[in-house]
Amino acid sequence: MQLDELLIENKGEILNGWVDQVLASYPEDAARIFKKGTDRFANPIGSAVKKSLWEIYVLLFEKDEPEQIISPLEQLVQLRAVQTFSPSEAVGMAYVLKYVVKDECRKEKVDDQEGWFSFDQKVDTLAYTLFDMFMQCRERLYQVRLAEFKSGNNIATDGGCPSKAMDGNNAEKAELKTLNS
Amino acid sequence: MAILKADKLGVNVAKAPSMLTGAIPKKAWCDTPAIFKPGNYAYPAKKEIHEYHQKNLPQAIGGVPRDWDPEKDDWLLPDGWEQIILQGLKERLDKFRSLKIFMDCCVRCGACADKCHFFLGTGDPKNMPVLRAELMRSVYRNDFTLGGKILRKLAGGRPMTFGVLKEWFMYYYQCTECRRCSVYCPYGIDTAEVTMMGRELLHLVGVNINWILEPAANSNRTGNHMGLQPHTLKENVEYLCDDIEEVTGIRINPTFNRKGAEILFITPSADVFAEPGIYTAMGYLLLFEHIGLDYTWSTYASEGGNFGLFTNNELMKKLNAKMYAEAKRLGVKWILGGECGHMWRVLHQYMDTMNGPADFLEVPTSPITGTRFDNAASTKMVHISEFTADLIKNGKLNLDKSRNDHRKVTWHDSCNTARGMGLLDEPRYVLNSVVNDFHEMPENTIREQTFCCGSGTGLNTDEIMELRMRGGLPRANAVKHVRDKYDVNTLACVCAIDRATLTSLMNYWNPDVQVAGLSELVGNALVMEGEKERETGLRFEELAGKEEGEG
Repeated sequence: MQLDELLIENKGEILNGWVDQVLASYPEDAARIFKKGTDRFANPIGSAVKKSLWEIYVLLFEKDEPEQIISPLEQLVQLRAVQTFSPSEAVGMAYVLKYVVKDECRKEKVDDQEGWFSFDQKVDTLAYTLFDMFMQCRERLYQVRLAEFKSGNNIATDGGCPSKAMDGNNAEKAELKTLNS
Repeated sequence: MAILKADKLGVNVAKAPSMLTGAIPKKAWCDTPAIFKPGNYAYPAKKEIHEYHQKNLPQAIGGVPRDWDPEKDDWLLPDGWEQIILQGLKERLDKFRSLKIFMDCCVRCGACADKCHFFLGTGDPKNMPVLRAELMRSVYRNDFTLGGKILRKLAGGRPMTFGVLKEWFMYYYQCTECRRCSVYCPYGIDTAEVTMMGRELLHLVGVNINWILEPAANSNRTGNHMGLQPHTLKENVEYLCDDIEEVTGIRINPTFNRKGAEILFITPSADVFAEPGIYTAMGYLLLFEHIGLDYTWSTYASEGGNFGLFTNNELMKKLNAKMYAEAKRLGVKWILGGECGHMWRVLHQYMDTMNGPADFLEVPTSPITGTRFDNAASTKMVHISEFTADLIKNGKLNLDKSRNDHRKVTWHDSCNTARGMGLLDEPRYVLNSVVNDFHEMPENTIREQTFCCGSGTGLNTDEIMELRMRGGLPRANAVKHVRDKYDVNTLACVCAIDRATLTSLMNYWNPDVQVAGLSELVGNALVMEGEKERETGLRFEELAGKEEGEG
């Protein structure tokens, strides 16, 4: 059997395994709930994992459009980038797919050098993309933090009267007057 | 790394080592310790802030003012802190019947388990409301029930240990007291009040966070969270008037601390200092000018927010009383309140039994429409959205909706005003009157079921930004849906904390969605007498059809 055929024929089993493994990175009680819930608003993590993995699987192995995977990965990576994972845990799901597929292949004899080469290449593309997107999310997170700081939110805990920070305020004017006199 | 058999993968998701983390998820919740790491806890209160509160309310703010580090094993707790907590719990069980009922009546049905935004965003079981309450319930069972005293762990009891205290500090500060879980509880358990009690008990032994205690200290001292002194508050409002003049050509000269004004207006101080709240404040100023309202600002009761709600009921009472003391001093007839969240929660749920009834004030009656707000007959305080909706209903406002045509809007029901006081339809009525393009988010994410911004109850501090982004995920996810489906670019709300925190939440999850207060949109739409043709909105953004080059 050719690998690309197996990837399509056993799509359901592979994706279930992949989704389960990614969800297993959450505590057991949570993973159970995330796996079960079907409402995307009541169960955002479970839905995002399932939806993203199914969509990118189709793009990589059915439609052969690896360049399209960014959009379906977006929410999933945004999620993983702010959860309590190490970077490798957050984006290691590409390698998990390798294990799941290889495990599936034990049942069928797949001696398809070209197929494996192409598979590895696609999964590596997925891994690189995940890593780039993860870093973009982390950078965005720090920009958000900076923007909030600049918006004046921090004033509540800076101590003292925030008029000190204002342009052309009375306190500053008073200080200037004292200096000039 | 163990490779799972495919047939097992579909059966159980977490019985073997995770391929991603290698972790074996075998530990029960009560054996999983709370570990503090940078980013998962808010900074403790500064020593001098702790001292300040202790001087004012020694019975509520205990412990030793000190510099301490949640990551270390020694929190420098007072001697006998376990007994202080147990004694505090006993006093509260005697004083608040609701707490006793909430401790006793949970049957662990699990209806609340997947309703908390922090659980949905973190996957941490201790963020299930039932387990979060169990952190205290287990101690209650151990020391205050017969079964627990005899059977201890077998009856689900746990002694008060340092490990339990750490859990309390971690998870009672991963609850925004939004009460979404309570909507689903068949017994009506208000988990928010369990969190409130948890925080009160932590304060008794000096375990606290700065982002709550410093604004509360500022509010107690200068009248507002920001610590704005009278001249600064006045000057800031005047800056906003300068901007209004630039946009509309109208000069507004509001009054401050004016005795004999009919109405005292109180709003969160963030409205006069921080973006995007300042645009909302510009909306208030335009509205009051438009209808010729006889009102005054106060530089002393210059804060609607009440961080006492997140600290201790006595501090909450004190900060709430300040607004009424000022109303009495100025001799106003009633109070009009701006767009705030927990100010309204305190007012609607607690004011009447803490400081009410405010008999020295009159039942609020709109001087413009004659409508009597009997819903505020005891507190004498009316919400700006009720007031504005009444004005619109009676045809008192000249509005041009098209000035908000650059905005496709969705509505965030702020937890405190929506679930806390039932303010669901008034803001929608106002919104529909001032914008042409309004799209609701999905049904299970709005109105009574609304999702929290993820940063309420004093958690909107930047050192826990990642935690806030996790907590805000369900809200952001629903906004993403309407953004993708209807090109929504504006998330409107009536809460100052929301305006600040949803801005960060959107900047991370949906960067092209801005956050606006409802009154900002009202201010954009109001056609003022004698105004110049508006080229921009209140935040100097281009209006639809007025883009550069289209003249």
